[in-house]
Order: sequence, then C-alpha cells, then structure tokens
Amino acid sequence: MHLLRVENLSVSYLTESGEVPIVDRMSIKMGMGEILGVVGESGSGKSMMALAIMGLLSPKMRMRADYINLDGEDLMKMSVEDRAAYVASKAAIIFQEPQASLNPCFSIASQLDETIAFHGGGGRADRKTKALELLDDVGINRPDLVLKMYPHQLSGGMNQRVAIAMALACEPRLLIADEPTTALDVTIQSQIIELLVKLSRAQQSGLMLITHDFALLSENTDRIGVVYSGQLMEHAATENILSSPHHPYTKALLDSIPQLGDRHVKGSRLFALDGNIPAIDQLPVGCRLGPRCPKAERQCVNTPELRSIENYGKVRCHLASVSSVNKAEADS
Amino acid sequence: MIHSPQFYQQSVIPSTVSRWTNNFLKNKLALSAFVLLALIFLVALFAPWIAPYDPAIQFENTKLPPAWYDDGMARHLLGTDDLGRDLFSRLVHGARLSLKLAIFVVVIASSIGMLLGSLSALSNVWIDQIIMRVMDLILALPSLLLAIVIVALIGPGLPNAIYAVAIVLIPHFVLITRNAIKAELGKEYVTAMMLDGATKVRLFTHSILPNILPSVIVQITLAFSTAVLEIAALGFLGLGAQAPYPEWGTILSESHAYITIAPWTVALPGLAIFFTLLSINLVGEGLRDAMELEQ
Amino acid sequence: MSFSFCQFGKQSGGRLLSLLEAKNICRKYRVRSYNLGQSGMLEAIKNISFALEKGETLAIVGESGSGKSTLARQIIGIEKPTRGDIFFENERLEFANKKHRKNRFRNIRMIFQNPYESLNPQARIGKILDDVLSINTDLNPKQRKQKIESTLSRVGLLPEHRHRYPHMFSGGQRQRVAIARAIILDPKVIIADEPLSALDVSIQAQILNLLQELQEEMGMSYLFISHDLNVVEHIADHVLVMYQGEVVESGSVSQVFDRPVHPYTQSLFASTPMYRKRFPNFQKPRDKKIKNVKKGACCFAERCPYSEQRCQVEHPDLITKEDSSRVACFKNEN
Repeated sequence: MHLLRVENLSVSYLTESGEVPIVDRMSIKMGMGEILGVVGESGSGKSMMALAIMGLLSPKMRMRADYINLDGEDLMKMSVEDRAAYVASKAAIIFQEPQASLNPCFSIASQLDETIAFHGGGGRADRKTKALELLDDVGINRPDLVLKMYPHQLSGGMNQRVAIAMALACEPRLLIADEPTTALDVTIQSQIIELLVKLSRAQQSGLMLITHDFALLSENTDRIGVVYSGQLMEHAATENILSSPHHPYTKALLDSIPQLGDRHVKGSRLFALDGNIPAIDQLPVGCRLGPRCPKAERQCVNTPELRSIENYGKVRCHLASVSSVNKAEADS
Repeated sequence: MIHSPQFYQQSVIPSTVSRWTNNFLKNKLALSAFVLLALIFLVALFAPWIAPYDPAIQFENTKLPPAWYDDGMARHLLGTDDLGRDLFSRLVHGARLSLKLAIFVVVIASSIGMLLGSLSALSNVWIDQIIMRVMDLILALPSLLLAIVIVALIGPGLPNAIYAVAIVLIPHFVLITRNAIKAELGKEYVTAMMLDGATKVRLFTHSILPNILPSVIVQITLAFSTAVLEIAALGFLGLGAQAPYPEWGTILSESHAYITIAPWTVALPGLAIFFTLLSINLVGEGLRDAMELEQ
Repeated sequence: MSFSFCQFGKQSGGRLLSLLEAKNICRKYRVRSYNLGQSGMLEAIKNISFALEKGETLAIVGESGSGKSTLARQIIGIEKPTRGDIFFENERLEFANKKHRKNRFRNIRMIFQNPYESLNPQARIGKILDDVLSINTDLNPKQRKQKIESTLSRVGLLPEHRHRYPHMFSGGQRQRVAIARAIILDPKVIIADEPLSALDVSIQAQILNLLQELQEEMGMSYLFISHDLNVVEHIADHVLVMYQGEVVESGSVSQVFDRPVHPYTQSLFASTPMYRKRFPNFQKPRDKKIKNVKKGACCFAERCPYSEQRCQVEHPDLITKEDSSRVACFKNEN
C-alpha cells in the first residue's frame, strides 16, 4: 500500500509565447511512513513538483498527471474544492522561509488556534491544550511563553519549529518539507532535520524532504529521487544511490562534494561537471544532461526514458544498465 | 535568462537603452499613445502655421457649432465660442501654451527635486532630516489646494502659477531620488566599485546614476501629466493664465457657463486635456514596463 | 574582564610580520533597541588576531552572526575598526591614509557572496573590468583590452563575454566574472566571503577548483570565509573558528579538523552529517539555553554541553598552545 503515487506529473508555465515545461513527467512513489529525499539544483523543478501535489500552483501554471494517488484517493479525479479539502486533511508543507507560512500580524497562539480549529479541534480549552502539546512535540521549551509571542520575536530556528507545529496540527499522513533548513545555521539545521525525522518515525507518516544538499539526505532518508532540469533522473533506495549511483549526474553530485579528510594538496581538484545548468527554455536535444555529461555517447542525443533496473531502482540514462553490468564484471 | 556559450553565440549584445527601446516598441498600446503624444507636440510646435486664425480675433458668428453640424460653417472647423473666437485656433494655441508651461514646470521641479534628493541621500542625517521634513510638510496638503494657497499668497497670474505647480511637484522628485540613491548605496556592487578605488564622483556617475535613471524617467512622465492638469485647473479657477490667453483651463472656465447652449465649447477643450493626459500616462506606463521596473 | 591578547602581539612584534596580520581588531556598532528606545553599543567582533602567510589559505568558519563578514569589512577597508591594527607587508594600514587605501584596494581584493548583487546591472562586463584597470593602473586602452581578455579566459569565460551585461550570465558565470574582477590587478590577498553559498551544487565544485587553480598559478593568499566545513577542510591551510564575534579556536587544518578542542568547534562537527562518523562522541549544542549567564562570560556558555559554573561567570583567555594553535576554553587550560 502506497501513501503517495504520482504518475507522469508535468507542470508548465504559461507565457505569451506558449507553455514552458518546468516539470516533465515525474513519477514518484512513497510508502507509508517512508522518508523520501528529493535532491536537485535551483530551478530543477523539485519545489514545483511539491507545490503541484499540494495544489498550490499559481494560476499561471498548468499541471497534468495520469494520477496523483494520495492515501488511496486519486487527486486528479476530484473537483478543485474537494481536492483542496482532501489535501488539507492528508498533507502539509513547510517552506524554506518559515516566515512564508507565519503571519507577522498575529501571535503564535492565534495562528495555531486557527489551524487547529480548521481541522476540527473542539472547544477553546481543548484547542489550547492541543497547541501546547504541538509546540512541546516540536521541541519548544516554554510553549506557554512562545504561544504569546509574534513571529518576529522568535529566531529563525524557532519559527521553523512553529511552522512544523502548524503543519502537524492537521495530523498529516504526508509532510513535505521544501528546503526546511537552508535558511538556518548549521547547528540548528541538524536539530530541525532530526526533529522532522523523529516525528515522521513516531507517527508513521510519510516525509518528503526536498533539498539541494546531498549530505543532508544521506543519513536520514529511505529513498532518494534525483531531479535535474525538470526530470527525475534517478529514483532508488538511499544506500543504492550512495554506494553505486547509476546516473552520471548523481555520481557527479556525489563526487563534487569534498570528501572527508580531503585536504589541500597542490594540483588536486574536485570532480566538477562542466558547463552551466541549461535554461528551461533552451534545453539541449536528447538527454538534458547531455552537453555536460562526462560519459555522453552518440546515443545520448535520443531522449532517454526512466527505466527500471533490477535490484536497484529507476534510472533515466541510456548507459545505466551497461555501466551496472560493467561494474558487476569489475567486482567479480 | 542564461545564454550558455556552448549552445549559441550572440554576435551583438544590444545596449541597455536599445533593449529598452525594443521593449517599448513591442508594447502596442504605449506605442500608439506615443504617436498621439508626438502629434500633440507637433501641433503645439507648429501652432501658428496650423491654426487658421489668431486665437484672439472675434468673428461675427458667436457660439457657432462645429462644422459637421447642420448650422456649422466649414471655415470654423470646431465652431466658435461665446465671443466668436475660432475654437480650433484657440485649442491649437492652447496646446502650445499648456505643453510649454508643463515642460517648464517639470524642468524646474525635476532639477531642484533631484538636487535636493541627492543632497538628502548623500549628506549627513541632519540635512537629510531637515529636507525630508520640509517635503513631508508639502506632501501633507493636497497638491491642488497647496497650489491655490501658494498662488493666493504670491498673487494670481501665469508665472506665479508655474512656481506654485513646480513647488508642488518637487517633493515627489526629492523622495524618489533620495530613496533610489539610498537603495543603491546599500547594494553590493556599489561597495565593490568603491573597492575598485573609484572616487565618490565616479561612483555616483557610473554606478548610482544609471541605476536610478529609470525611476526618475518614469517620475518625469508622471509629473508632466500632473503639471498639465494642475496648470489647467489653476487656469480654470482663474488663478493661472488670465482670460484672453488661450490656455485650456482658461478656455474651459470662460465657456462653462454656456454648457447648455454651446456644449462643444466645454467638451472640446475637455477632450484635449483628456487625450493629452491619457497619452502621457500610457507612455509613462509603457516606459516603466520597458525599463523593467518593478511595481 | 581582562582578556587581552598581548602575548600574541608581543611574540610577533620583534620578527618580520606575515603578509597580512590583524591584531586585536574590535568593531562596535551603535544600535538602537526598539524595545527600550535606548541606544547601546554592539560589539560585533572582539579582539580578533590572525596572520596570513603568502600563498596560504586561512579559512574563517562560523555561523551567521559570528562576525566573520564584519571582520572581512575591516580587513578590506570598507569600515574602520574601532580598535586594533592591520599590517600588510610589514606596514600598518591607516584607514584614512589615501596612499595606504590605494595600495590596500590594489593588493587586497574581495569576492562577494552573491554574484547577483556584486555586479552593476547597467554596465557591460568589459566596462566593469576596464574601470578597475583604468583607476588602478597606467595601462593604455589597448593594453587594458588585452588584460581583460586574458583575465576572462583565465577564469574560464570567453573574451567575447566582455560585451555582455551581468543579467545574461548564470550564477556560476557571474561568480567567474567577480573572480576576474578580483584577480585582474594581480593582488596578493583575496578575501572570499562565502563565494560558493549562492551557487548550485554542481557549480560550486567548478568555482572551488578555479580558486585553487588561480592560487597555485598566481601565488595569492586567500582569506576564505565559509560555514561549510567540508569545503573548508578541502581548501584551507589554517582555520579560524569564530562564535559571536570571538575567535574560539584556531590552528592548522589538521589541528582543527583532526583534534578539535573547543566545544563549539566540536558541536559544529557533531551537527554536520558527514563529520558525525569521524567524531561520534562529540556533543551537539544544547537545545535549551542556560539562563542567567553573566555578561562577559564565555561566549558559548549558554549553549555549551560542558558548561560549568565558572564558564557562566568568567571569560576564558584565548591561549596559544605549544603547537601555536589557539583555544579559548577553561576545559583546555590545564
């Protein structure tokens, strides 16, 4: 039983000169209580995918999908109103800037209260107890004090905790965290990620962690999806991706992070992909990584499809199966 | 937008000004407004040659309707007013007068305003505070009311009306220049240029000025339309251009008593003001879009 | 509180100084508190001393608010330090002295964090670089053009790119332009303030490699400001760890990355997933801050997992150890 199954989700941006595709036929599956990491660079469409699932796209965006199955119901078959209500009861999202989901004009208490009331929180006293519980759950020391405060009186890390508490108020089956720690300091980052993972494990709810930071995903996720230029390039279990990435892009990403103990030696260089990320309206022919790919061959001018590879996962690369065979040979 | 060198090479990179021009030319509405405005300016420029008669000459036929009415006459295209003066000639000369005055006002207001604004942004807190509080004082009153007060103080008449309208327009220029410069000063590229060793003058002319120019240009178009309107308003109230002068506001005020008998004498100068303002504002909006200003 | 670093100053007083030395730099800002309507002084950096040798990279590590960017602003000469001296090539740099300023601006160059903000949007790349040359050198227009083209090629751009405006470039390319602007005067020191943090992951490695390449070719020294530990470990020779405007630990990269001593440095490693395996025993900082820590006590006492009574009252001195690494912690004094 899957919590979330997305098949061929496309999002495009409407301009005067036609549609510009931002997300191209993305298919993702998440099991119950699974933690999925989505990694990609800015403009790769990873946030758009999340917004599309949540139904939060701006009116200038168009989305299409074969189906988006969230906790047993297909969102694409619902009317707009039904869909909004259903998604609100099943899923929640937190953003990079906690300020984005908190209103600076109202106290934490009134904002939390409103969210709890919206999800049928009972009487006034019940709601207050619930609010205190939620703040306590997200590791806030003095919930009674924080309730009386306004977002600008709290630090970025605290605000992010409050945003998480608000997201949890609807007891979501799926929590999407879009770059939840990018705006925070290193020491605070790890606290927030740990909190998200702990909550997800405790409540057996799914967590989709969207980030550009591979290191962040390596410890905490069950599976990882790698996104580049609006396409899912690779989708497999975390240990598979970390130990033997099949897609050249994933491999390049992993190699371009300085390794532990990698000290300054004259002449030593990091592995780096050449070139720049293609603009979304100037995509290369065939494989979108093509011009930058260190392994590109003649066949890469044909568009690769996402293919399943046995005992691994899905990869969008012509060379994937070949390289895995080679690797097997090399191992034996 | 990213132009990656490995995909194609652009041979000529258009300058910023030509990019703005291209943007503006693509905007059909703004372009047609620009053509209309240019026509009005041409009419104003060549008024003595376009107008068939002297605007002050009185003909025998008073309150003659425009030529397309049954009792209209071909030699008075837009009819005559209550004193028998040719309305077309008066409007054409009025365009010359109104635009001339408005340009004069905007030149005064923008130069003083930009000077004060730059002074305010670049000098110490005290001078800044004094200038800004004076500007607040001017901004606190409705502009037309203030202009009326100023004219009442220094006496009615065309020159005084011009000063009054200019004073009313100055604060907008001061504010926009000051805020734009302050915003620029906080930007990293100004710091970076300072670290290149640039002098303050060079910093101002090379880095700050080109970046605040778009907002100032848009402000100039806005001020121009305000100036046309306020000068006409003062003329209408009898505080600006005085009676025989063919100024649009004055023409309106002279004829508004006859609105039931000779409606065209009111409608036509009104339409002239309306189309002038419309075209200026559309051009201003087009410029704002073309120069990629936010808002 | 007496926590002067005279010791450090005296030691280096007699001998020839390093290429760039900062001694006891302080910077205070006047701040107005909106809650109380009072104005007070905020000490953004306190008594910072360091030395940068020729061809070396000194990395400054710290979180936001640690004062690392403030320090850069003092060194480069955008602001005048409230106290302290900066020596460059054995000469004390006066903030107001015109000759010193010109010399400083020529020889110490800066790469900013955000390449989207550090380039004038209304100027072509060639114009930006040409300005730098025409202000600082006596080259004629033809020589300037040659220099611009060779510098652009050196940072991995094309000579034709000088006709373009900044908005026509991607983030990585812009940062290359910013690097070109920094190196075009053949400076001796480059201050790079978080040069990678605004860039995409696959571009970061490109820029990091470029910086290393240029250093090896041109022998420049880098003052590399970053919060990213693995990047610092990769590029730095020496490391300075800052917390709330103070140096809490400094030393060579192997001293700091193999045997970090200060609890704050340790908690940085504990919070970074990659390093948790190397240092499984390090403690993260406290979630819950310790209350009633005295003003002027150890800057990390509130969040330090080993905080004791003494830490919350007294300020530890920054002590230079035998191996010339420095730590400010009572735990390490004995």
